Amino acid sequence: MGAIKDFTAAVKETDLWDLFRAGNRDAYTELVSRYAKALFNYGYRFNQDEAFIEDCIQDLFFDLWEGRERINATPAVKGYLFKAMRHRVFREQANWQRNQALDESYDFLVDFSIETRLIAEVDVTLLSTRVQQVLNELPPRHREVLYLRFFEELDFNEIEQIMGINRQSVHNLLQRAYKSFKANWAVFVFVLMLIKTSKLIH
Amino acid sequence: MTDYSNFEVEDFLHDDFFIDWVLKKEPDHDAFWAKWLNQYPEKQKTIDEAAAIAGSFRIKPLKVSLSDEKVNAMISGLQQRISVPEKKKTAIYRTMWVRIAAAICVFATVGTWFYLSYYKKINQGPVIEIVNMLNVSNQSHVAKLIRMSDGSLAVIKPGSSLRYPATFGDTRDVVLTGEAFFEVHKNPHKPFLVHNGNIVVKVLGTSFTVKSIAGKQDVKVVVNTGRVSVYDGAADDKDPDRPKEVILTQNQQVVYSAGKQNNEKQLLPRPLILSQVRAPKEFTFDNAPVISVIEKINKAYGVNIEYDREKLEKLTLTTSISEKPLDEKVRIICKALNMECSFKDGRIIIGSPDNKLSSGR
Repeated sequence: MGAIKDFTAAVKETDLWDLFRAGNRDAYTELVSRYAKALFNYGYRFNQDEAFIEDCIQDLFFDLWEGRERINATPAVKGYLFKAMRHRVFREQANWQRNQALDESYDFLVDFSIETRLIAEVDVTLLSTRVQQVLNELPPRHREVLYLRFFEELDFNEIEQIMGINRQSVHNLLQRAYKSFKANWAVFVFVLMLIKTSKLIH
Repeated sequence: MTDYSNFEVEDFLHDDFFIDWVLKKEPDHDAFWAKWLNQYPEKQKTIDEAAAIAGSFRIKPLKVSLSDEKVNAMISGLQQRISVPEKKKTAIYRTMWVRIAAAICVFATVGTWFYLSYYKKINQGPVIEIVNMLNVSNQSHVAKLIRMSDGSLAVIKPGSSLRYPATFGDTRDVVLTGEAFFEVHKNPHKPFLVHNGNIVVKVLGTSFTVKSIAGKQDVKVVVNTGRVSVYDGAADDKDPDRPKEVILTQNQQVVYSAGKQNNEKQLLPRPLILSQVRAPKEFTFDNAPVISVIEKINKAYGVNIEYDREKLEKLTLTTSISEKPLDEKVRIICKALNMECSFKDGRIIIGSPDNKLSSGR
């Protein structure tokens, strides 16, 4: 078992996916251990009931195994699982909460901050708080796009798939997110430059 | 490759390749951007600004996360679940027999029922329902265990009764009078509904207790594991003053009154034995006296397992059964002891039913 584990840990996720589709249980188990935490982290932002989200993850993976023969090869395993997770949380939630409007009016719990390390020497606490506040007041969809792109590092193609919206909508959401702190943009950037330029570029 | 020569800060912030470079800092990306900046040195400031912004988003970690233990438990749970269908495949012959036997059973019950309803018709006028319902009324002084067609269990307390279909159809509806503990077999596509007067307790897979409060329309619901929703099934959904539904998770309870718009749920001061907080500890036994194991089950479920105290007195057990429903727990113990067990007329019996038995209490 140990040897197999070491083996699967080194396998690329697309190969892992193909192994799993062929019915390899070690590959399947490895997929669960690689993604369960990230899926929890994502799902919990829609619904803060731990037991419920855990159930969703378990059922998601169970159905995945049951349907493995019908599942396509995918170059983006993570995106696929995130999409399945989002879909399941909404569906199960609707099962639970009668009269609850679907999808359109969900909440997305995320607490943004901007990097404040080294900031102490400049008086920017107020500014960074303001930018943070603006980010956190964005509508859920905007926050979700930012979360998926900058935190989960999924690309725009995958975000389109996960959220079930087209490229234009993704960009519009992002556009409005950027716009929302554009008022503070100039100062914001100036501060960031002070802090980061040398570190990032060189 | 995208032509970046006309890109402004915001354009870069819409570009996967650029964002990936900032976030992932991959070396071949570094090479690309160094070369590109060589070609367009006037863009240095734009790039710096965009990179500073893209690199500045932070997200505060959630207060909760999925622990390694939970991931491992999930994996072993899944391994168990996915190995079931394969067993079925290898035992088709046996399964077929089981199915036929079940069919005969159902037929026999339907037959009896029609006879009864015909009889009733003659003697008591019209019969309203034509559904094959079973009614278990507990007139004894100990709880009765009922296993329903989907594998769900109900522990019916003395003086209480439960009506449920012999086989569940498209829905899983049962009617309770009094108090019962339920351990519901999970099926997200078929919610399990407990009706108690007009109040409905809806559940997808969990264990909980429902109790009607004497002389009142109120119902008390206590949840051990999972999630249930309690609502007034008779209320008009469009009525803004209707009693609001209450959603409960483990170790929460509500006294739900259809006459009240807001029914407050309460968190139990101490987690229940069967809740996920305590069950793994409470139901993991290392060389424990069998009798203490049985008594723990009796206490947790409010049942009265019958066994021969003399026979079991010196035996010990090492096992972990927190994840199993009540009937499985008992079966596992019996298997470990190499003894029979039976579930008859709501009684739970360890050992041969013919032997002289003493109650556990």
